[in-house]
Amino acid sequence: MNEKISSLFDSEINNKDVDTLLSKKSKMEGVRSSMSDYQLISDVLKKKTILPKSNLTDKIMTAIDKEPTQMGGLVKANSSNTAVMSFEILPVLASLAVLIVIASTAFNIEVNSTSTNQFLAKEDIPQEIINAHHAATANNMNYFIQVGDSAK
Amino acid sequence: MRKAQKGDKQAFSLLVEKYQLKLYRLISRMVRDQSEIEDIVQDSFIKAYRAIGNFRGDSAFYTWLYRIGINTAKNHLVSLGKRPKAMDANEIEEMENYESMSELRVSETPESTMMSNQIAETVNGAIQNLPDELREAISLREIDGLCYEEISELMDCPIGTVRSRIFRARETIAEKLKPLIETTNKRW
Repeated sequence: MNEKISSLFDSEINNKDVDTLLSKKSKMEGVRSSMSDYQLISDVLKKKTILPKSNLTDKIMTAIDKEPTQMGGLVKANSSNTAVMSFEILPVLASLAVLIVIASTAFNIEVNSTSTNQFLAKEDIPQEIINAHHAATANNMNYFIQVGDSAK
Repeated sequence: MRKAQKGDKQAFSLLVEKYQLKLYRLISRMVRDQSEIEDIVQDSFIKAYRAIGNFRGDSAFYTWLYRIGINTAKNHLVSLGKRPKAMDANEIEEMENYESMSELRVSETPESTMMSNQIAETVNGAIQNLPDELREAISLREIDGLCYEEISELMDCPIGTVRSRIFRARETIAEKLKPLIETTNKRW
């Protein structure tokens, strides 16, 4: 625990350890006290003036406790970005939805029509009629060209 | 910082604990009266708390905080009818790095001076009695201002060991200081 406070004092702590420290709210007084001691040691080693210990942190935090909770701008920015993004994405999503509906409808029609045709071809049309149809139908491309030419 | 920006007051209290003395020292270069300095420091932190959402992390938090502090101090001086001195970024940096004990404008009493001397003696004595590796680690950190990674390279040991050595050094010194701090708190 205290090793984490020492790391925090040096700004050499990772987010996970900060979360661990902050999760133990009952021990926050101890955290602040240790940081105060470390600051005193640091000041002496850096030959800075040793300031009388004051309850300034308590005064500041009492004043801040009266303030409404601040939601950070980054958080606001993110949330507003999200809002903007959802507005931007909305037409795209709508278009995509329309495409999906069209595609699925077309697919269903195609599938149904194919299956219906196959059904008709297999079941309803007698085989001899199909054979007659194939026999009477030209399968040579030149036939259609000639027909086209004679039509002129 | 991240937590404080999300409105976590406990996280913000750690920022207050960490930077209040630095801010105090900075303001004391502009304002003499101790109670006025405290008021300005308090106002500065409240302004920082209100505006923490605007802090984008382009600069270090303390640079941002110090600018708030200096503006608050200037406004305070203007409200008293005094003309604050205009300062550029270099002067602000100089003020922050100012380490002379003699020119810091904090009202000192003979008793507070004696206490300061006792604390300094205790810390320096405790440092001398530390095992070499602990003394070296904390000196590299506090006096030379190296980060853990640089210390680990210099001392040829893992960062975790550096972290542990610095912590143990601090705890050993803090243990020696404890009786003195308790007395100091009663007297100061």
